[in-house]
Amino acid sequence: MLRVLIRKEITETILDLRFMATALLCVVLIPLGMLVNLQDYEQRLAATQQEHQMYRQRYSVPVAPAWGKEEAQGFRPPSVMSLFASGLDPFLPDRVFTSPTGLFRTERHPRLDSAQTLLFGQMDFAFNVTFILSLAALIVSFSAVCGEKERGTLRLMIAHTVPRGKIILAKVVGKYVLVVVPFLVSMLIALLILEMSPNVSIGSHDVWPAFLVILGVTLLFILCMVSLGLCISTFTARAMSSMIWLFFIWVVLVLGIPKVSPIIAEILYPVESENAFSFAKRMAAEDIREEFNQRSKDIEKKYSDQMDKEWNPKFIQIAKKYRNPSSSEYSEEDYLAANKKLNDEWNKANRERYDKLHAVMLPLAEELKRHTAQSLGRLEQDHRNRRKKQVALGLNLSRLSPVSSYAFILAELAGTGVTEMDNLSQNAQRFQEQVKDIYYDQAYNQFNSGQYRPKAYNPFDPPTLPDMTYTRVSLAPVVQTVWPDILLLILFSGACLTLAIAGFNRYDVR
Amino acid sequence: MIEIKELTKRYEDGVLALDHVSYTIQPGEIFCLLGANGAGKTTTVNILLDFIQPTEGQASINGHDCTKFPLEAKKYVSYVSENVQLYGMFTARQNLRFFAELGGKKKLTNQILDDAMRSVGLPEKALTMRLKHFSKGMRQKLGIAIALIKDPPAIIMDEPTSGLDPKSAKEFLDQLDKLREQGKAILMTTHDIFRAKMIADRVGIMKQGRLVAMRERANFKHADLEEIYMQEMQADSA
Ligand SMILES: Nc1ncnc2c1ncn2[C@@H]1O[C@H](COP(=O)(O)OP(=O)(O)OP(=O)(O)O)[C@@H](O)[C@H]1O
Ligand SMILES: [Mg+2]
Repeated sequence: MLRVLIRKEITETILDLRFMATALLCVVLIPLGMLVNLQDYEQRLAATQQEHQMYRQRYSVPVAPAWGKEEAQGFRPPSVMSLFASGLDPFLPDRVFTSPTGLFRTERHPRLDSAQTLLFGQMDFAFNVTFILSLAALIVSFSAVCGEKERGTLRLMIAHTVPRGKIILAKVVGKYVLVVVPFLVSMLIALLILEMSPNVSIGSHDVWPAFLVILGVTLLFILCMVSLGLCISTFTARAMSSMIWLFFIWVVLVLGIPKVSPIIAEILYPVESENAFSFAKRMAAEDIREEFNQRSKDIEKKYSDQMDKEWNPKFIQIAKKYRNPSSSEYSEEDYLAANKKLNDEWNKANRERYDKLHAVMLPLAEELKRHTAQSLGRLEQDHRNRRKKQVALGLNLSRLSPVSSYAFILAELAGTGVTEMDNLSQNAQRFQEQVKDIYYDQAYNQFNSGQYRPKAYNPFDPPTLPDMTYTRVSLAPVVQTVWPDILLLILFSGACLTLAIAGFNRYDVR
Repeated sequence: MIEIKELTKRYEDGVLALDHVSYTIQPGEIFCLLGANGAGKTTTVNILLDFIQPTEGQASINGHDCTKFPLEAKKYVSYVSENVQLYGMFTARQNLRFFAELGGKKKLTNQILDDAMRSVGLPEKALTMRLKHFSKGMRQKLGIAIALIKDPPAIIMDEPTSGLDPKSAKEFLDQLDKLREQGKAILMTTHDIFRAKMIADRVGIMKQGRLVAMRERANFKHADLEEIYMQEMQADSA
């Protein structure tokens, strides 16, 4: 029975103009989007590689004399999976600069060579699915029930011994298959396009597992949309009103909720902007350094005061003794001799004083480093937590729409999502520490005068700076991150189907 | 076979479309339901097929309550509507096959399907024609073929002859005769008093939701059924 119904549903839909139009769109747009994105990816990859090479030739060994203040540069290569969802990629920094202060900074070249893409919006796989495919799925399914009622065939069907649940089920399966088949065909073409590129290999371990998950999630997303369309069709009596609902709901789900929720989150939970924060961070670092400079000055003053207190009387004494005309020992010659002797003694004491001072200052320098790292780390952590909370709030709000859940999952799987920001920071931090170990700690410390520089360092023979090895988040933790969203998609389609069945059970078929 | 007991239907807007109507249709009997527009004939049919629920009373087919166990009840009945609508993009044969399969007749050969369509008077060229090119009468004929191919013990028809040309209508009556011989219980609503008189074993006349008259064949065979009908109509409005 179900087979009969499904077969009829599929044959009926295939003969429908709407199906042909959407299938054609699918088969043309998805491969086309992939082609455009592939070109973009290859360009970015080549640009990064070239930049990296040029940097390595010129700066990977700091120019002598190198005093340990040079920045090392790390490059974030574009992610292969960004072919599927460019996500935050156009906005994520692609270069990391380490710093002797312990604070790395990141930067992004505005890639205006692809200005047109930015102007018209990216047409990547994620866009094609969330905009085109979702619409296609809704268009194919929105009149599944009410259209058949309107044409009058539903009565005759219901007059037969068919459970209504089966009719709905058959409709879901039939419509679903007819959205999925063109989609899979277009995916196949897209993969062929990718395979032809020398820079992408689908068989590699950082592509195919993520690709399979993306495929699965997309199939689930299509199911969501088809069940939504069916659900609309069981709550309307006419195809026209169903279409109006469809338009309204599509706009709310695809454009409304995802775009409005971050704004609401920002209002509900304000966080200072990144620029303001880095300014605040720099000010905090300066405050700390100032405080330490003051302390070092105080210590130096204490030592020199001590010297003065100890030695000034001695100089005064010999002056009184030999330069006072009323003194019995008055003699300029004796004075000069005594003064020279005293000066030699003073010089010796002064050298000792410097050694003692050095012994005190070096730990102080260490403490400054530690303190700076700690308090900036705290600030950073605090800021990052607040930002994370805001982003999480926005995301949670946006999850009312399966479109946001889907876009979120896709971006995470493509390595261009929110997590990638953290990953970038972690990579940069690792790089910073690597450079610190190899270079800064050997050559530099916070007191800029250089007099406390570690003695073993030779500024004319600086070490080679390391390259940043950029590690991506592996699939398992990503899947763990997106699991709730996958569950949401399942729940959404389940809820729509349940509603559709409930709606159809009470549906007036006349 | 078809049993209606104290059937009452009041629509949401307050219209009383059926008012405590009762009758039973036996196997091998053709029951014609007459009545003015809006008398409640289609409402009765809709309740029998579970398109709508009655407010009071019951309808059952072959002993199965049409409201409580609609799937059970619908096993024993097929239905022809006053305006048969089918899948426009399918051919006549595809339509017939689909509904035959829904009615439990799987794996029918094209030969059987075509014969069924010929038997209701569809011309040869119509058999593989897309339904969107069918005329109303042709659709009606295919609707009848769909009802007959299921071969159930009861058949419910809501103005099945609307749109049929006289020759086809005559053939249809012959077919009804054969069905009666096969022992089917047939409920047919119609405005065609002339044909009702020719074929019916019993007629019921409805007016404003009530069954105002019931005549056995013996009682109208020699009388003028139209006169009886008009009398009933006037009696009530008086
Ligand atoms: N969905 C509905 N809601 C409210 N009233 C309805 C509905 N369907 C029918 N009616 C009313 O119920 C009454 C009976 O209608 P019904 O369709 O059963 O008449 P009928 O005997 O089949 O008439 P006809 O000969 O014109 O086909 C009419 O007064 C009609 O207006
Ligand atoms: Mg009617």
